[in-house]
Amino acid sequence: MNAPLAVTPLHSWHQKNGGKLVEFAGFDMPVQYEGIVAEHNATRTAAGLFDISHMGRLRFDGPRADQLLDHLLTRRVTDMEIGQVRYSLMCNAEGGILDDVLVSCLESPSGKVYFLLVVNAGNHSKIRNWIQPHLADFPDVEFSDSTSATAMIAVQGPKAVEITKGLFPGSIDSLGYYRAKVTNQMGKPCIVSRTGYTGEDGFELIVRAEDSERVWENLLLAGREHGIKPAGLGARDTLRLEAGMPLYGHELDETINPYKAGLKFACNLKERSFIGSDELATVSKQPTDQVRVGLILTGRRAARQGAMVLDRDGREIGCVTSGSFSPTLDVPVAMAYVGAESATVGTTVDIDIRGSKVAATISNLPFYKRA
Amino acid sequence: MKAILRVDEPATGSHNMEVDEAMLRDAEHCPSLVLRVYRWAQPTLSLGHFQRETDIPRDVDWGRLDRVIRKTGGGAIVHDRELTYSLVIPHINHRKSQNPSEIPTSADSAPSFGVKGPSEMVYRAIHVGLVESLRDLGLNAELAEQCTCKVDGKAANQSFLCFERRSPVDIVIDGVKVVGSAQRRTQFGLLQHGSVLLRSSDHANHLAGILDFLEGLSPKDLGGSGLKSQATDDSIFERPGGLSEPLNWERWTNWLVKNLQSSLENAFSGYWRFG
Amino acid sequence: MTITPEQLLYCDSHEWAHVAGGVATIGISAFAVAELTDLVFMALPKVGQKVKAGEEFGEVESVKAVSPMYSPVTGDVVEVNEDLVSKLEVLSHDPYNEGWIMKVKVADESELGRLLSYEKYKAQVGS
Repeated sequence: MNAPLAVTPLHSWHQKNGGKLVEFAGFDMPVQYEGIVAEHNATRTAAGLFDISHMGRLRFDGPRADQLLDHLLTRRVTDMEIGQVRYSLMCNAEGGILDDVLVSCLESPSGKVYFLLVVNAGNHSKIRNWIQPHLADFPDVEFSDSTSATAMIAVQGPKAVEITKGLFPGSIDSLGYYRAKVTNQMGKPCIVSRTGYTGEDGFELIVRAEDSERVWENLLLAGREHGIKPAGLGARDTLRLEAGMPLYGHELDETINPYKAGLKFACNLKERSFIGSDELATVSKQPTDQVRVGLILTGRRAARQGAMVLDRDGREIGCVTSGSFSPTLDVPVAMAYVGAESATVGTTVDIDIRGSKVAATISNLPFYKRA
Repeated sequence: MKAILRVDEPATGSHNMEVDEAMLRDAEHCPSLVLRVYRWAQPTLSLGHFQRETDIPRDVDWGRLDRVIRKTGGGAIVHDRELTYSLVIPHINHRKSQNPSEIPTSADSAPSFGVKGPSEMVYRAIHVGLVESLRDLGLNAELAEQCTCKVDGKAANQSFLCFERRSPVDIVIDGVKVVGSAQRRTQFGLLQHGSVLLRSSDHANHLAGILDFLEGLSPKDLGGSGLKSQATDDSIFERPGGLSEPLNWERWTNWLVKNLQSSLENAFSGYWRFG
Repeated sequence: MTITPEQLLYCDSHEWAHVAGGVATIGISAFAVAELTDLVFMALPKVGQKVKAGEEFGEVESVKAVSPMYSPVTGDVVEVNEDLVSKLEVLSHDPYNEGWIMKVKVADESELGRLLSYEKYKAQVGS
């Protein structure tokens, strides 16, 4: 029997406002409202508003919270300053990726410094279970899961900064890229970070569940004349794919190490010891057998996860991890792992899409970079 | 920097306009934000800055009212059962060049008013705050979506009355405009006018005010300023009475003042503060 | 001859001036037009009117605001683009030629030194 789907605090808003709801990572989530392409394009040209409350939000309090996280994450946490956000990975002892996460160092209005870990919805319980045994070694660290008490909203796009002006005290537009702060949205407590998963400028907000609909509506009001649209997970996926960002369960899983995934920048091995660091030190010195590449397809059909990548002689050289039609480039694009020796940009390959071969060119990532 | 609130007694149209114009003139020398909330001693027609008296339609009741001309643009307004506010925010950048010693140095808090920039933010902060507060009262408040200002990319012939027009800075309830706003942006500062219709005027009874929508709704607490944290001392507030009861000006004035102050203090946090 | 924005002098209040033979042609910049959005009216000066550098010579109304226009130069207005009011949309696509507003016989050319070059103006509006 299937467990009932979880819902976000904005679920009834989605239902009332034309959201087409589908199951994603155990949540009943809007995949689209008006249409994926319209929402995608609104995010590229104006702004998109995303409910990303399904992501896990884990909080770590206590003087040694940074050391616990430092032990769990591939990038250093102990040197993080208040207001800093880092993209990082959590690996197992074999160096396989358990999840990709954002870790933030925050200061509450009362002056309390704490860390926030945002994890993928699909890995949420796995990561909680992974962290649990390590808490015993850090008895002074208070671990709490704020996911269900809060909502998370992303406002993304070239107009995101303009739209938020006047809605938050002072100016959140002065917040640097990958910086975060604890503030409020017209009186409603709120964590704002200058982060996103679309390749556009913008913010991600965490608010109390009971305030989420107000904050969501206020952003829609403020963005109305600029053409903001609520956007679903469908557009979120095409946007992140164009931006060349990996998605756990597609480009990342426990069999893939950060070096193969092209996420060397997210590993800091220097004078550090963390779970998986020994294995990663070995891996970092070896050439990777496969690399993550972009593919630009001919025709109009999109390749999906699992489609084989073949060289011109019909030999299997890799496998597609994500694929979709790209609204911005107006061609189908994909990401794939292919043998390092075949991964030269510009190489022509074939993709086996349900039995028919479609020609594609290996391309650099990202497919799209904002001006 | 100091923000000044003044709540004025009902006055004539010409007096009201003179005070607003003087506030804008003073922006050249006075570094304070000034928020003024006021009423009209008798029903008055104010024309937008570029409207001509000769264009007032004949055979309309409101065409015979006392009239004044505003410094701000837009269409004519029948000021009757409404609260009006005027807001002047001095142009800090301009002042900087004249007397640098007066200007605080905290870099990211000094707003400057160019052609647009933060002037748009003032509209946004005030209107989002008011919509949120109106929704707290159970009203179907929104910002107007359509703009009646253009047809095929050209300036359109619009209704003479502001409240028959629509622009993105209007607040509507069930599609009916209840708050209209306009700005004048000079090199010395920004003047923003806002009209908050409380009840329909006998001189323009095709328009409606907030109370016309509230009546018939279940009782709501009027205390809901958009800023929850400040909506505490409101036990004195209760839903204004039915049609037969006189309009409770004091309550609605407090409601508007609180909303405007909190929106402005929030948007300019750490810079302008009401004393 | 087509005027390009690089050839012009600017006020920080977004007016431009093109001076030739002692006469300044004056208008408002593309940046100002874009920022004002949806222009609905313009109050023009009159021929023969005296204008002063830094002082108002007319006003422009957009759907959101009325903004005075400030003269870059001092002198007498010798010509006004009267047609502009009925076709404000030309300002959106050609603010420097068809969108000129007035011509002024410049009283004191030394005042021009106070105006901004294209580079300085561009840096100021951050585009």
